[in-house]
Amino acid sequence: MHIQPLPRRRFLKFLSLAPASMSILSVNLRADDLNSLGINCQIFNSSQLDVFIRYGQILFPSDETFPRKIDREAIQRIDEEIFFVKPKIQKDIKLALDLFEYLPITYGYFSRFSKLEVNQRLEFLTELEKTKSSTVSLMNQGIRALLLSCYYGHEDSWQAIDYSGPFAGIPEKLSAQRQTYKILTENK
Amino acid sequence: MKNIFEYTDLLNDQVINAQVCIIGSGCGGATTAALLAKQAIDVIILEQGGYYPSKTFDNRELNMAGKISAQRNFESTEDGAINLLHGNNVGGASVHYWADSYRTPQDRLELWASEYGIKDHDINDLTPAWDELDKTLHVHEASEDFYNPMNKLVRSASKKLKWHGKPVPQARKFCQKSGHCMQGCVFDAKQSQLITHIPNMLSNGGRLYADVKAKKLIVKEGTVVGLEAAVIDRRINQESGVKLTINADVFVVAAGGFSSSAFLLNNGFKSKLPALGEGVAMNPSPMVHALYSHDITQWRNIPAAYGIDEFRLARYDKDTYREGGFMLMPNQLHPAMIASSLPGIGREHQELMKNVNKIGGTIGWIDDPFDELGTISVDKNGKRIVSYPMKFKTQAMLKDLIRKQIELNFSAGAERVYLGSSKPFIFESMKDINKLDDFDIYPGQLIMGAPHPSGGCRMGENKKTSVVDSTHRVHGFDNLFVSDSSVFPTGVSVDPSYTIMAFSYVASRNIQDQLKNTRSPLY
Repeated sequence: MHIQPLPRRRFLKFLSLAPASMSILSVNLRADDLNSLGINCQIFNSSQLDVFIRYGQILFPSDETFPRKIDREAIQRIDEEIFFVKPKIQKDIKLALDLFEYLPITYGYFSRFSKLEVNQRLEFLTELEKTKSSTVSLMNQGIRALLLSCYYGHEDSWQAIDYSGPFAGIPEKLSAQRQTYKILTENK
Repeated sequence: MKNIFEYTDLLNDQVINAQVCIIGSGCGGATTAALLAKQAIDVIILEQGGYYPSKTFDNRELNMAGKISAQRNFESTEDGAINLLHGNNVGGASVHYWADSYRTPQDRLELWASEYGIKDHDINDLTPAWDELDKTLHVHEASEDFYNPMNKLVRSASKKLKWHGKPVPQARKFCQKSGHCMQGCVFDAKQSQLITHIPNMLSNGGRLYADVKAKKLIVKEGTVVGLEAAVIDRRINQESGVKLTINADVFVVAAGGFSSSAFLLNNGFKSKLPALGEGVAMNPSPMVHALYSHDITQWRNIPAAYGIDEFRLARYDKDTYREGGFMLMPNQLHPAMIASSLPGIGREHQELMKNVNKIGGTIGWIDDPFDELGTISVDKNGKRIVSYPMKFKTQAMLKDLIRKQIELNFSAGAERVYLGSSKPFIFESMKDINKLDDFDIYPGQLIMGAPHPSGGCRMGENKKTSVVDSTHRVHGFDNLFVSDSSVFPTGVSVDPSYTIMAFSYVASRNIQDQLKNTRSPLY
C-alpha cells in the first residue's frame, strides 16, 4: 500500500479533532488480550498501553535468544519511568500516544494503529521513517526511544547482545522510587 | 554532629540559620561551599535532588538515570528537538559527567572581557584556582592503558586527517576502567563534587540539606533576608508538605544553567533584570554510530581520553560561516542508549544490536553561535520553558559537525556510519557524504542532548544586558550571588566544569568580602 499522507494543514486539523473522536471510539474497541500481559499501569490508560504493545511487537527482537518476558517488563518499566517525571512530560507523552493511535488514518489506512495487522504496522512504521513532519517525527522518535531503552535496559536482553552488564557484577540496588512503584503496582 | 539531612530527617517545618545559604550542589555550589567552609564560614547547601552516595550506585542505565539525572533525561527544549541533560542529585551533573577538565581557553576569557565587560576573570585570575583544583581533583592526562579501542581510533584517525587533538585532562584517581562515568562511579575514582568538595565542606562544619527545593526569596530593600523552601518526598518525587525557612547573611544561587535563571524568574526578577533568562547556550550534541569489523566495546574504560579541538573555533569567510565551531570526542554509551539512537525496525535493528560490541562512534558539541542563543522563561504556573530555535548558523554548525564525524569514523576504518536518529540515515562510505547536502535539521530528525547549559544570568556591568556583575552579585542586591554556569555570557567552547569551578573561586572571595561588611544578626 502506498498512499500519500495528508497535507500538513489537513493533518493538523485532524489532530485537533482526534481527542474528541477518541473518547467515543475508545469505549468498545479495546484489545482483548492486554490483561493477559499483566501490566499494571499507573500512568497510561489501556489505549495508550496498547500503542506501546503493538509497536513493541514490531520493534522488539523476534530472535528466540531474547527471552519473551522482556517485552512485557520493558513496557511495565516505561510506565514506571514516566510515573516519576514531571506532569508536563507525562502529558506530552500521553498526548503523543493518543495521536499516534490515530495517525495511520492520515496515511490512508482505515484503521487505528493498534488495530493494524502486523504487516501493515511494519509498513506504516517504515513509512514514518521518511516523514518530514517534525510533529510526526517527534512522536515516533519518543515512543520508539522509550521502548528500546527500556528493552535494552533490561538485564535479560544483555546475554543475547553479548553485553557483560555492570562492571564487576555490581548487584542491583533499588531506589526509594523503584520500591514505591513496586508496592503500588503489586497492590493494584 | 549530624550534617547531612534528607527527606527522612525533615519531617516538620523548621527554621534554619546560617551565614551563607547555597542553592544547588553541582560544580558551582559545591566548590563555593567548600571554599567558604574552609574559611570557617557557616555554610549550608540546599539540593533539590537526592543524596546518593556511591554505595547506592548499581551502574544500570535506567536505575541510575532515575537517581542522578533530572527528569530521567526525558525533558527537552520547548520544540522537543534537544534533550536537556543535567543533574538532580547531590553533586549535580558532576556525578554523571565524563570528568573532562579543560581550563577555559584564553581566547574565550578575552572575548568575555572585551565583548561583555567581565572583569577579574582573566587567565591570571583563574590559573591559581586551576592549579589548586588540579590537586584537589587529581587532574591528569590519561596514560595509554586508559585508551579504549574507540579512543585509539579517534586519535589515529585525527592524526591521519591532520586534525589537531590532544589528551583530555581527566579528574580521576585510581580509575578502575569500569566505563560507568555516566552512571556514577561506584569506585569513587571519578572526582565528582560528591566525593571532593561536598565532603570537604562537610568536614569543615558545613551542612547539606538534600531533597529540599528553594522556592521564594524574601527581599527587603535590596537585601535578601530569607528563603522559603519545600521538602521533596523522594519516594514519590513530590513535595511532602514540610516547609523550611532559611535565614542567612548571604544567598548564592547555584542551581545550574537550566535552573538558576528559572528560579530567579519565578521570584519575579525579570522586570528589573531584562537579561534574565536570555543568552542560553547548551552545546547541542549530535552523535554518530559506526560499525567496525572488530570489537570496540565502547562501554569500558574511560569515555574520552583524547579530544579533537581542531575545529573548536568556528571559521568564517568574511561574515559567512565556513566550518567548525565544535569539539569532537569518542563516544561512550551503554546498550539502552545505543539501541534508542540506532535506526531500524524489528530484525534490522535486532541484527545491529547483536553486533553492538562492534559499534563505536563519536560525539561532538557545537559552540552555540553567540547571536543565536536560546532563552529560559517560566509559564504562569512557574514551569520552566527552554526555547532554543535552531537558526541558520546553528544548523550549519551541526551539519558540519556531523560531516566531520562521518569523515573521522570512515578514516578510522568504519564499515558503515549511522546518524544518531530513529530514521535510517546510513552512510556506506565517504561517497555517500553528499546525502548531507539536502539534510535538514528539525525537531525529531536527530537524537541530540544538551549536556552543558550556560547563560540566563549573564555576567556584565550593564544592568540591561546582564544579571550579575563581575563580583557574581545580582544587580541591585547586596547579598545575592550567582555561582554556576548561568553567569557565562556564551558557551565556554570546551567542557565547562573547570570554568565553573574556577569562577566559583572568584565568587567565594567576593562572598567573603560581603560577609566582612555584614553585621550578622545570627553570630
